[in-house]
Amino acid sequence: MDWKRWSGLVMLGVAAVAAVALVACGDDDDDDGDGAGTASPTVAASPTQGQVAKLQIIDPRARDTTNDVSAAYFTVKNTGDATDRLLSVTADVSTKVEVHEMVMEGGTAKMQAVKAPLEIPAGGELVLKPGGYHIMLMNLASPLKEGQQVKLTLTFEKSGKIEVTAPVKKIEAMN
Amino acid sequence: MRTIRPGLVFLLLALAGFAAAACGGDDGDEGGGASSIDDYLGAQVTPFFEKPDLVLTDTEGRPFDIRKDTEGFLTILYVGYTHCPDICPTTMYDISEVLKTLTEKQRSQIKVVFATADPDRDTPEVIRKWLDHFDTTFIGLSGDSRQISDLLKQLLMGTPQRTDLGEGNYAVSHAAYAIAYTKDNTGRLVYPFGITQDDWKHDLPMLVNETWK
Repeated sequence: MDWKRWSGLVMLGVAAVAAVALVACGDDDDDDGDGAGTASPTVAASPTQGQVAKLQIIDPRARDTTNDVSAAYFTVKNTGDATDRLLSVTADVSTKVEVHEMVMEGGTAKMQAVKAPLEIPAGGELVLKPGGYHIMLMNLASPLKEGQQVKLTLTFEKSGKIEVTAPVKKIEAMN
Repeated sequence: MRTIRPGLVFLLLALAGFAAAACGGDDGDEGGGASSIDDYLGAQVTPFFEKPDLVLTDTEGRPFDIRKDTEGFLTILYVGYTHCPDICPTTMYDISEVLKTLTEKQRSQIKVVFATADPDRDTPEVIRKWLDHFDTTFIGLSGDSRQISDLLKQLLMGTPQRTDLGEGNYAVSHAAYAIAYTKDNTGRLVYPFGITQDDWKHDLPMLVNETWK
């Protein structure tokens, strides 16, 4: 199955839809309240001289859930001039946390741990969002409820550990 | 195995962009379906899906005959699992949100059916609790592994593959699209992963009245 091409095209299509809708309509139907831009970014600078990764963690959030698994999402922005990598994540609510990706094989969705640490290129960003990369939170002691807060500790290759607080939000839309 | 043609999905999603650009919000059309299947933003499947001929168990523990008990309704069928942290809840949430935007009359003609690909963990109780998070009217179906295999075979979805995540956790592969069966019991459109609430909002009011004449 040519799933890479399939999912690539879907994503491209989605991007096209999003772009056109955004430009033309200013549609205000979205009530997913993901609050992008309202979260205060956490900044960490790499201690090494010369090539430095400067990371900002934007809009960390976790999904509310009814069982013992959930997902957390955020965007990592790198305003430095060196690539950084997300090596691992821990959470105070979960004993088992993994960085996962959703891959398409034909029309089948498969969730799996990422094969290599995710990169945040110099001047670029890494986006974790529904239907793409996500932080898989397993073995939750109790289901996450809206309004609760999850402490995430992100460990980066260059920038070291960055702690963020992710509010638990109502499950958000694909948009 | 039938697959969705990628080019088509792209084309349809691009069309979604143009529709959104035109701001054509004629959701209130109660007169009939679309003038052409191309007016829909869902991805077309040829040949179309038949409704599964199978009796599973609903969340009250009662037998649910998929064909008989959805007859006469626009039926949205999605196969997933409740321990799916990402695209299953996103899909169910998107559908539940869009249903809230429909008229009562439109809403009353739609049944949303979730069937599990993970019968070992998804008991009727587990499914009910999960679905209630989105919409208490959503129908949740489970069965023994033989029945679920039968369902997936009829839907040409293939056997779910388990990915071991350690400590008793596992992920389950499943179809990344919802099938929309119109009232004539044909599933000519699927809504693949990536479809947005606006796309659903565009299609559902037409699908409710669709006769494919």
